[in-house]
Amino acid sequence: MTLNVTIDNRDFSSPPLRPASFMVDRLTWSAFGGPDQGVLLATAPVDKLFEFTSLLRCPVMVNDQEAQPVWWGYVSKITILFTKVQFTISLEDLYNRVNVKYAFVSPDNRAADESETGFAEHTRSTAEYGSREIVLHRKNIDDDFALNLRDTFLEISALPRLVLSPLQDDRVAQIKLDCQGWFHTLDWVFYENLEGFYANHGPGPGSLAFGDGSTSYVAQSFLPGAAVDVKYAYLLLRKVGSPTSNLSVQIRDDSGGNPNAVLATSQTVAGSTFPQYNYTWQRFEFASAYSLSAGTRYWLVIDPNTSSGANYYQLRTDENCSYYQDNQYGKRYSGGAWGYIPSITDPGSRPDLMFRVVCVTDTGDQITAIAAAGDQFFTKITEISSGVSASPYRVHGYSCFEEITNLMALGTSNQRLILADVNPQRHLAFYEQPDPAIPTVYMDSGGRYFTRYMKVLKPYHPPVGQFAILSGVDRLAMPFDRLRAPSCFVDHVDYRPPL
Amino acid sequence: MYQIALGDELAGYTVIDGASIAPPFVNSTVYFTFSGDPFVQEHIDIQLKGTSAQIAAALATLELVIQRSLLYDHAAYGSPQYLRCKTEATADDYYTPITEVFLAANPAGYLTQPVGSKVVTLHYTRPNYFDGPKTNLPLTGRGGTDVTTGYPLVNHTDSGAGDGSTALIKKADVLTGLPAPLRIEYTFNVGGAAACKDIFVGVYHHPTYDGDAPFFFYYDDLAGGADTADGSAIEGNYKTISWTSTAWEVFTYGLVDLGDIDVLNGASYRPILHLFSTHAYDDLYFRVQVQRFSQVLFVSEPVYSPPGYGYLLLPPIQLPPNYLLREEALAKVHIYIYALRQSGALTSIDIDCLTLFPLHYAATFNGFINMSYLETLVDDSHRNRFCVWNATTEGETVCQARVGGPLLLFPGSNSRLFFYCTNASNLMPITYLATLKATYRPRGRLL
Repeated sequence: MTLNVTIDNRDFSSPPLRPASFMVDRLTWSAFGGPDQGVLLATAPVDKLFEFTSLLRCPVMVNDQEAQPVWWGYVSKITILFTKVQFTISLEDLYNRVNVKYAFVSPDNRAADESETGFAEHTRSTAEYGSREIVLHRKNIDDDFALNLRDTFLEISALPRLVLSPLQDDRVAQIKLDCQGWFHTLDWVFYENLEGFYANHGPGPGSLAFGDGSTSYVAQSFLPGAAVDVKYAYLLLRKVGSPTSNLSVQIRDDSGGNPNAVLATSQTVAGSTFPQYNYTWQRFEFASAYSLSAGTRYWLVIDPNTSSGANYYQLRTDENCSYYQDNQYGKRYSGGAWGYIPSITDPGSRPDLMFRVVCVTDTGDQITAIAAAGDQFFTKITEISSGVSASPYRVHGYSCFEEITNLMALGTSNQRLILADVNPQRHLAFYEQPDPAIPTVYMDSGGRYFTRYMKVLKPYHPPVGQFAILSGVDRLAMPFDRLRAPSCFVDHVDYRPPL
Repeated sequence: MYQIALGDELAGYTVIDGASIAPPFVNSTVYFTFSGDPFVQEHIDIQLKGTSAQIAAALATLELVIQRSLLYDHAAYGSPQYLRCKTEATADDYYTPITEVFLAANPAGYLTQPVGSKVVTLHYTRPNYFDGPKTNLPLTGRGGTDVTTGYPLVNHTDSGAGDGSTALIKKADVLTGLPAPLRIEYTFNVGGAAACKDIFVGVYHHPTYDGDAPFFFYYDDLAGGADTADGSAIEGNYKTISWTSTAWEVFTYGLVDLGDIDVLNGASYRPILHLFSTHAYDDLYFRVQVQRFSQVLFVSEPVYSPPGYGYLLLPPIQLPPNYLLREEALAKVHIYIYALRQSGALTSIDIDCLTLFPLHYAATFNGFINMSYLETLVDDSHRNRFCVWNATTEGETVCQARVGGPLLLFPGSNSRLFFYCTNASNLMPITYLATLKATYRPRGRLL
């Protein structure tokens, strides 16, 4: 058995002949991304050793004797050993896009607002290796400090960092390449999506009575920047007296800066359940998520479904007008017309409501969007419809890789995991974990995997992402045995070829 | 030894010793190893005499045996490579498959080849047995007596004329020293749109018993529920069992009486529950318990009962459980089936037969392509291969994944072959028909 290693140039063109041929020391595969880790070894004349430093981030392909791809990815770390020296160069500490998020120091030396510098980029490095982002978090620094920190860090980190270590014993000149699968490149870029969650938590003062015979409806406008589906709305509410009505919220379109036609109405919430003296977030759910268009102003309108001077409701407003979208504001319907919410602390301003609008999308769509945002090397991304909805809003400070793996673990509406694979052509595909009741791989008494078509699987073509059972015994009976002896999910395979 | 040869039935054999030997093969000596191990390592000295080209060709023939053995290991060749031995002119051929084969030669062998001779040594590993010639087996049961041309199987067993899903192989027809590999040819015999998906095969053996009664429990053998006469049910009746509970409840039970427990002989059986009508519950579980009246002797793990299935495979049970001294008659036992509906809602299940399906030697063929009219499943435990013969093209193909060990006939015993098949809708239609042919190869340790 011989596995052949090919290493292309960073731009995926074929190189001239490499001055050494590599042996496979270890290969791993994961059901969550396909080819995962690889270790390749080679020996070379000492005078050729340092030519191999140029292999960092170069594409690697391992083929079997029949020229079938076995493993593929890129070189993430190069270790060169010769005489008593170890020389290491790695992508691990390479960052060519740097952002600093920091808490500002006010003149009285108290932490004030939070800010960020925005990303600075080392274009030569990104052109060579691809974007590798980092966000540095600091407290109690000022703008200049943050900017200088960003630029210095970028200059130091934008090119591969070299580590030289002495060795105790003489070593044969040897090159070791640590490789990673392409799925890992999603970890190079941070992901943020400010759409899908529109909210104002104040903290300005203000409250407004409604359903009290004076104000019939209260509304807040918001402007989605992307097409999203609204599923929930929240408002800070309390009751006054003993109202018994069932409240609902509406999504309305806009006409001349006022709420207009009702587009969707939520399920009702019993107002009698609201607390009397303190405000709590009350959730209103739309039975079917309503689709909002990008760039269109919508109004969230609360309908008290009552009008009583003794038994009514009160909601929290924000007279500081903190809602981040400019020219979006609250309004109330009173006296047969829409008008701005009155402000006691800042008369003439346009107070907002304290509100949340939560939109949801299929997590499969989110995975595709996040993968597209982090895509630098994939030739195609195949999406999956998971049947599971969640908010697409993301400001966790996680990388695309972390966001995607979190969503993959969330699974599908069939309660199966979402798996991912990258094929030799760097086509990234997401797919649902197969049905555990129908194993597709069998292990015989000799420990060999074979398919149901009786094709023996070579150890370097492992059945990652499939369910397997033993074939040599008749004691197992799928799918009846899903409690007694569930089939085995092959989620990770580690292969070390005999040397 | 009258003759020794290497090869297989597909590509033919090369005689390396004895009758019909052809140059450059002169003779061979097999250094047999005797042990109780399941596999033994041996070697054969093969003498070659002839021109250098003849010797080279002979070596290539031996290398081809090695290559075919490797290919068979990777499922790329249809037969193992065999060492075939014949002790005398009128004796049968005996075969043993060889693996891990390699050739060695005297270090100076390259010097002798040009002058016309060479001795090479073939090293190999083989199972510790030899298989004899393929022998037809007469089949007996509700479908006829001593049938060799295609025994008719029905997909259930009851008192109806010819209604038998089993076939008996009489011990007088099996002459073997070790458990002998069986070959079955199971031809699906229902026309039209009918399709055969999964096939279950089990082999029961007993030194004297040749009946089929202890294995089937009908409506009147099972406790509880309400019985309804219906001509489309096994034994003409089905039983409706209903309950409402969030806990495990006794579903039904049957008695294995004194005579029957002796016949069951401490072997393992898989209880198969035939559902007269399917259910739609997605939270229904069953388990099986072996009890001696109220004394619980064994409790199985639960299994899930998928909605829409016309049968249920329960975990294997040993009957009687545990090994006993056998100095007294065995105590009767009850086979209890328990059920759990997680939701606790009202549940109603119709059953018409509980089968104790033997597992001593058994295999399940899980279909991924359905077999249609006159297609034949061939399972050859001698060659460790199986396939389906396509009825229209007469070509071989694969339609199932096989789970289970080889099917064997125990020496000195009557053997009863059990069959059930399912259709593409996961039902076990009781009117499905099949035709069965069986052969075996006697197996022995010594030639």
